Amino acid sequence: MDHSLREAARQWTLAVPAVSAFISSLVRDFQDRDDILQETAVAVLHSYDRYDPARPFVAWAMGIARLQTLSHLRKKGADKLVFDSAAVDAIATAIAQDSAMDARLEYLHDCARRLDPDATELCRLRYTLDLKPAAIAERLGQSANTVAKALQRVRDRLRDCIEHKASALEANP
Amino acid sequence: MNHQTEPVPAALVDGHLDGILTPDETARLNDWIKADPANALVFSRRVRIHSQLRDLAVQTTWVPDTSATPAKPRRRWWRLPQACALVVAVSMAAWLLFLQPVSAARELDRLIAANTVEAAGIDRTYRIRNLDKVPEAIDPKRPPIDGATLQVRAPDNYVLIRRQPDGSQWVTGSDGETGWSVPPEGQGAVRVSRDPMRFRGPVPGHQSGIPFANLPADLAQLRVTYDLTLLPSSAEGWKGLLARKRSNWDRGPREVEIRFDAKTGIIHQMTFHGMPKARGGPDKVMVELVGQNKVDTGYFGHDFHHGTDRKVVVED
Repeated sequence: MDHSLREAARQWTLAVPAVSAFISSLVRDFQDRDDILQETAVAVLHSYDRYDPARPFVAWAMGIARLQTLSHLRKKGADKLVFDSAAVDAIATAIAQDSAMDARLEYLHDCARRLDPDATELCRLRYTLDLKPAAIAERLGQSANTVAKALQRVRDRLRDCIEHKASALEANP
Repeated sequence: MNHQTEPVPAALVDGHLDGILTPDETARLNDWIKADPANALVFSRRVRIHSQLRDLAVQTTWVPDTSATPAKPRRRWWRLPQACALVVAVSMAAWLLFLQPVSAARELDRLIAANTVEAAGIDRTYRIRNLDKVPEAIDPKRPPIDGATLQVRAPDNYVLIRRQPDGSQWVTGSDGETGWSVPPEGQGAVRVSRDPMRFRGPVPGHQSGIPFANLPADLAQLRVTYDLTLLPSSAEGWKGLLARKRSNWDRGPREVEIRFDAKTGIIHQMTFHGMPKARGGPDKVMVELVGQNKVDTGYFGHDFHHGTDRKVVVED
């Protein structure tokens, strides 16, 4: 493998969480996200010779992901992104510049393990089975609104947990 | 969404992530995101947790840490009848199967990342086994790969020791700057090349474009020309990835099976099936991790492996 491809693979590997989140912000289904991510990986490797190393790699890769998302949505009959161009730019900039979040997400696994059984089951239904609130509500005999609020609380707790752990580490490095 | 009051941003963001916003609510979220970079940051952080949760979900089983949180009595609606549990399990298995190519690719990405960060400076010893039913033909100029030992230090340092039937050793290797070959006494001079790849031919996978001595790069190559499938965990608890070559026009073995520790990214086994036969050799070879002991840096140089009286020929 030549050096260029090796370097592309290395940079892509490091960029995957951010690019994956960027795509998640534009499409609602994880299946779509994963398909687009894979298409983006191929496009990044194929066009790496056009990458300008003076630019941040993550920002460049997200530009490719944006085009791949549009292309993917067109194949599915949609002709535009859910947000307008200025909002998508703002999201891409926020993700690309938020390197602090990369470190904070290291705590997410541990925080998720500490969720109570009900919250864990909710996460399993939402994230492992990829069910939307209405489908989860049907299984649980609740309203979709109740499930949506419960999911919001779980995400709040996880956000608080990783922030707490990050703050604790910063206070006692 | 059916909120009685004006949705707060977190509810709007989560509603978007869960796909339940109305067009009007999506428009409000759109305007809110671009109104202030701080809003975009709040949004992006929420999305990153959401996205990462999905990745965790496909990698791990959702089992709460009961030592950290006292278990609460479970409400009745969580207790699904066994039949429903079975349906869920079957659906989940089918769903996971559907997602496998992507999940496997992401698993490989994580493996590459783990080996990029962790592998540098770590010495690993592998034992190579020929899994063909028919043993390799005896050839004094080509020692059998079965039973060979491969010592690897990333990136690109390796020593491969093959043994002849009479017990003598043929050692090839690289210190990352030169490649070298030390045949048994009486079978020629020690040869040294400025090309670190010069004598890597016998290393499993090398002739296939998947050399074993630089794992991150080698694994990335799998990403390009192979289809990936997740395998059930082995009896040892190692995760498995099966890479099948997409096209016969691409170089490389037909299949590569990787067994690894998901926590550390350490690869315990790689099995190459359908090896190219242009230069002979076995069809199926397994490379097993047998140790992680640090060796002297000098070990990767040729002079460690022969006496000072041996003739050394520098090829170029």
